[in-house]
Amino acid sequence: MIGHGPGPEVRESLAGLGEQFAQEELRSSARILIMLSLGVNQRLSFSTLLELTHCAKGSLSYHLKQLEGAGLLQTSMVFTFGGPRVVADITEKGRTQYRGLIDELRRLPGPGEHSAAVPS
Amino acid sequence: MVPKSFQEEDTAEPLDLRATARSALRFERGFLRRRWAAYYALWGVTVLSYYLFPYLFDLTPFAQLPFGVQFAVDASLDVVLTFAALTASIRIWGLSERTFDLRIATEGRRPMTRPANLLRYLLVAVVLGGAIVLSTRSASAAYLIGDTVLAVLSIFLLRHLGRAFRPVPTEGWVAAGAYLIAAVSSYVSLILLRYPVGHLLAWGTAAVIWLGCAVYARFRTHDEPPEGS
Repeated sequence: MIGHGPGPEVRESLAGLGEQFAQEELRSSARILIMLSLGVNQRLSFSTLLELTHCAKGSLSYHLKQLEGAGLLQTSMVFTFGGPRVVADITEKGRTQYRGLIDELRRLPGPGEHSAAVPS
Repeated sequence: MVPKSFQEEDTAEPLDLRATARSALRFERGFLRRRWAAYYALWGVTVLSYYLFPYLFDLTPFAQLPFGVQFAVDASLDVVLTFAALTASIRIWGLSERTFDLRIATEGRRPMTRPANLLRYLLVAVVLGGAIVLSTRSASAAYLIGDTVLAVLSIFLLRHLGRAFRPVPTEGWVAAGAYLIAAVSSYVSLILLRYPVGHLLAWGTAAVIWLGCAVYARFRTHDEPPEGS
């Protein structure tokens, strides 16, 4: 017997995800990780982002430039007790993007829902 | 375990989003413990400044200054530290809420409860404190109201720890436990024993334990159980 395939909610979720990932700036799991972490923390230093992504410095700079170019975050130099530091702050557009990612995460079908959609 | 490395252009597949969010949460746990360490340290020093600093001042040349100057310096220090601790509290509670939101989204759930409302908690504390003072007609009214506020805030603290961490780390249980024990023993000392010094001892001990929790959290973030285990 053939099943009905994914339900409308799953199709809507996958369509939403497709839209999110169609954007150049989010076509990388490192950049998504940066956006998710920045969404939670609002501001992170370059060294913390290195620790988070395990990227090389050059790679991380590239990812930050891409995200900054898209207006999702803003980098700046701040002076702390430990010396000058580069920090990334999430922008309003970045917050909207983050909320979109959170919504997609909520709607993403779990493994159980996936198998339920498989033809029996 | 944080993935070895995220490559420059590893195109994310739709189902990678959940795995990436889990990586963010694993990282967040260690990061959040360090932030909570600062919170414990700041509140520990602030509570000590209320009770201990005036006595410490007596041991220094500061004691030679006129009483008015001593009082002004002590009060200013209390105000600055309290302001810093409250600012840190608001930040850490917000951060805990956002971490909670990301976690439940990763699990595909929506929040079932609203974030704790500090004003509601404070209102309950003031009403309770007032009722206790009226019923006991205690001379230590200020202490009793203060203790009620702190006891109710301990519930607020536990709630935020529970939302920030899964599972709550050792120092979180110790800090919250010390706080609750201080609030209860302070009550017992004031209401039953009518012994105000017990209040100082209870909160002084809790402050020292919080400083210990801060050191532990700062330097023991490597022996983490994985998020959700």
